[in-house]
Amino acid sequence: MSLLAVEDLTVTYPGGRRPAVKGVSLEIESGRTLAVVGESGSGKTTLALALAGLLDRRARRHASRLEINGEDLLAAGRRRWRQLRRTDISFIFQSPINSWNPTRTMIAQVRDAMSAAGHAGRMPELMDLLARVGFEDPERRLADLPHQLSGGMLQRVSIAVAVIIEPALLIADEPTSALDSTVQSEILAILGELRSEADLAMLIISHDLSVVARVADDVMVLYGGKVVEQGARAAVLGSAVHPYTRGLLDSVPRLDGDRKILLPSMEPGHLPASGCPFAPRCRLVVDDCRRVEPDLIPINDTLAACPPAASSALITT
Amino acid sequence: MTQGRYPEVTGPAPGLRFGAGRLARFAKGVVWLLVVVLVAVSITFALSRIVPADPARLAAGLEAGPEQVERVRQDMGLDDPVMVQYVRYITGLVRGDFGDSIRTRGPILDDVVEALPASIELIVVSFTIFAALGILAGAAWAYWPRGVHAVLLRVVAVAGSAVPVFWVGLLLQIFLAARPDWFPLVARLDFPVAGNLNHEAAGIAEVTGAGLLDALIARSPSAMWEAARVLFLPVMTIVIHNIALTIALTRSSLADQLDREYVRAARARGLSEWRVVVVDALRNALNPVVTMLGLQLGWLLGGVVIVEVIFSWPGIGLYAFSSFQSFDYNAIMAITVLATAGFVLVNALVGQIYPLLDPRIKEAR
Amino acid sequence: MTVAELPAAPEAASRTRKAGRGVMWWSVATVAVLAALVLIPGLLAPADPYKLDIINRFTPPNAGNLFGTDDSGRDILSRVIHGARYSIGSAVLIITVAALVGTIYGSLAAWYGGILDRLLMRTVDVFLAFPYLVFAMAVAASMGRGLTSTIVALSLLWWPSYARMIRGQVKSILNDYHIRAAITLGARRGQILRWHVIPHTYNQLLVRFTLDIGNALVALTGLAFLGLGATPPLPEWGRMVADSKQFALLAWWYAVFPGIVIFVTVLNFVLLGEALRKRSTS
Ligand SMILES: Nc1ncnc2c1ncn2[C@@H]1O[C@H](COP(=O)(O)OP(=O)(O)OP(=O)(O)O)[C@@H](O)[C@H]1O
Ligand SMILES: [Mg+2]
Repeated sequence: MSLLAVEDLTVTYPGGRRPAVKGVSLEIESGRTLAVVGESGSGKTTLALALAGLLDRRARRHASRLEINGEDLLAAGRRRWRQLRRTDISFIFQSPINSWNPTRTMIAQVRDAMSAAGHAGRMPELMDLLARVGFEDPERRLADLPHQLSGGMLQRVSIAVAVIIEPALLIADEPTSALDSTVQSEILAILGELRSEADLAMLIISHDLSVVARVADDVMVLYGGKVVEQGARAAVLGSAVHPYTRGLLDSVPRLDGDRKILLPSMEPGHLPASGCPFAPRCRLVVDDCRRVEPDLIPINDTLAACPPAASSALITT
Repeated sequence: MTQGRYPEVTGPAPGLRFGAGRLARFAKGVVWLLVVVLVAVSITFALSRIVPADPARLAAGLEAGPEQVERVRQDMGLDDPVMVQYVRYITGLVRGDFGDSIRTRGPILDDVVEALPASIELIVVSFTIFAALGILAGAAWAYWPRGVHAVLLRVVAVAGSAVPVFWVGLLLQIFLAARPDWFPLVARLDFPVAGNLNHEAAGIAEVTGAGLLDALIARSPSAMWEAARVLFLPVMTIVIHNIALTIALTRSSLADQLDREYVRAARARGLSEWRVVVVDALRNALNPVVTMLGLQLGWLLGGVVIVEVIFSWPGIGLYAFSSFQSFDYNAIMAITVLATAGFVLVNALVGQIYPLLDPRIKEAR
Repeated sequence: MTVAELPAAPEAASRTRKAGRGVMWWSVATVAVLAALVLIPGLLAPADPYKLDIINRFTPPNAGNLFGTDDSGRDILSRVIHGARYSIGSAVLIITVAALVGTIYGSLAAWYGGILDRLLMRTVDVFLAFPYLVFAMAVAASMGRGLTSTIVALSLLWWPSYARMIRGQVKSILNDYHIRAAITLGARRGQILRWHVIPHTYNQLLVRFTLDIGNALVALTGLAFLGLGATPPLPEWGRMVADSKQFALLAWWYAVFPGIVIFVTVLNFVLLGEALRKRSTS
């Protein structure tokens, strides 16, 4: 049974012309990692927040199913969500420096988190874990204020605090985007290692396909709040059919060749009111794309929301 | 709002902001205090030279003949060159001598010391109430931005700062004190004895001069009740006017903090709302509020005049007013100097609070 | 996008925008009425504000005297109308002087920078540390009572806050690259300040000016209440409230109506100022 099961999740912010997340369904099993990719503003963070009950009070959420560990959370209140975040769900944020209160020492905030989760007595264990993830001399360095530590250091603390509660679901929202590349791969390595030890379900968000290639089992591509393609990692990275996914893959710079196609750039936020959100930038666009929103259909090895791609795939195979 | 009438909210007095060590900072603070006071003294002294009323004439009394007035003039040193008088005044100040009051004929310092407890009582009680209530209300407004209370608080925040203090005081007197006779109309009738409470009538000893405190010392509940009753209207007048700014600033500052990512991160770690909102966000939000409260406290030192006059509250403000009425320029000068010094001092003290709220400041120094 | 810069929902946004415009129009209309009171009180007032009528003293509000009459039987409404000239007029005068002096002072400090800047701004800090009520008393005591000495005292205390605001603004504008270019190209200092820098401060200056007229009115009427300001029989608003004090129990309307007028006037300038601020920042 899936640890996390979501069906038809839609999130709307007040003032948003269209939902930030629209009709997303996903499942993650324990021990597996789902990567969500998409460009800025595609709704990745919104999706992640919705799964941890952390959405803005002003945001409206609808879903036909939302289950963690088999528990129906559609009607869960703030209290229940908080309880879940103490015991079952952990969250790692994109910007390490912004995830900590700038005016309190790290140790005070870490203690707060530990006692909130009911693990006040496990501080020594946390210190060990910190040392393990490369945070040297934790007793002394934690006495510092957040801005006195580097982003990589702060993110190590975030990770340690996130995994020490042994969550069933770990959500990481671009955990490495704010870090430079060497630190980035260290952090990814740590995450991968901890995940395989802990047998937890992980949702990792990224706009960086190399990150996805390293950690994901499954991949989901968001565009304009909608899933445009999803499937196993090898299938999505290897034989994606949706023109947006293809564009993403093709625009990754490679050492062995030049970029093939660049996505036609577009002002962010200018999504069409109806039809396929990608239509204005799409090279396969046909009239229907502007009228009906395409559903996910199996094409080759993935699910993709692009009927024109389906027909061209049929022709080529 | 009120900020226009007053200097903007700017943080600790500039002299206190930089500097190497604690000592250097302290020294700079003292120098700054002295400079400000010296300028205040000089300006008021210069002004005193153009006083239309003849101080000697006033001091000698109405019955005095020309020779008597002349003698008084010589006694007061008013015949000496201006510079000599200026230096004499400054050296007097250094020795803690503010000169004699023309009106009460005693040393001004004695009058001030006598009037001070009543003012301090009024200021401290009002300040505590509007600071605490204002922060509470502003925080509640930021956390629950919608609802009836939000509408009410918006009205209080806008109207409170626009309503003239003297008018509020007067209305409170007319509609609360005078009609149903709930509250004493004026603080006490046996002015000019110091203290806001009629100690004799309440049957307690006068120790500090501040009624509430004396009643506390005497452990007399009835006197305490009486002191509180006496305090109620003047305090309310000050609170109504000053709470507006506290509410508005706390709200906007906390709302800003609540939108920060660290708040969401703290929630993600499962922290209770109390911890997230009060321990983390509110503490950070208080920084500008404390600055503003410091300035307000400073202004109150001079600003209680109106309230004290309305309620015949026998404090420094009323003393200043009476001195003004009787052209007692010495006394006005003294109070200007003292109130200025008080303002600078209060702000210097407030400067000591910042590092407690935001440890980054301490480190930056 | 941070939540702080959240655009409100389209409907909500247009609702607040409409409400904002409503407030704006309301305040502009009221300011126009107030201006009329200042300029042509004679045409608007129903009665002579100075005419004594001892027999009809303390008449409660009625059809003939909407605001009632005072201790000398004068029509309070007429006095309030004629008083606008003294109260609002003085407030405008104070703030105009303060803004002018402050603007020149502040832009000079910002332009020259360095030691001069520090010196000038320290002076400003000194002035800002003066308690305004007590200081105004000192000025009034030496210059004699009357509207003039109060106006002088308040202007003297008010310009520093403008100096500080303008200095901050000019400093940041001077750092703008097109100004730097102009300086590098050798444009004359006065010209740059006058034509390229000062105009950029107008927006904030206007907001501040509007808010401060309300603030000055509060300060002015407060001082008048203490007897520092207009002398009888001038119908200055604060003075009227002060005069009403001894009859407060006898004639509530005497205190209530002039006070309401002060309150509403100040409120209007505050609302107008806030509306202008919103408009200039959005
Ligand atoms: N609190 C909010 N209120 C209103 N709109 C929001 C809010 N947060 C996000 N949005 C909007 O929702 C859409 C999706 O935003 P989201 O942050 O989920 O995107 P993202 O994929 O995480 O982007 P990024 O890569 O930049 O983090 C965007 O159009 C954004 O402007
Ligand atoms: Mg994001």
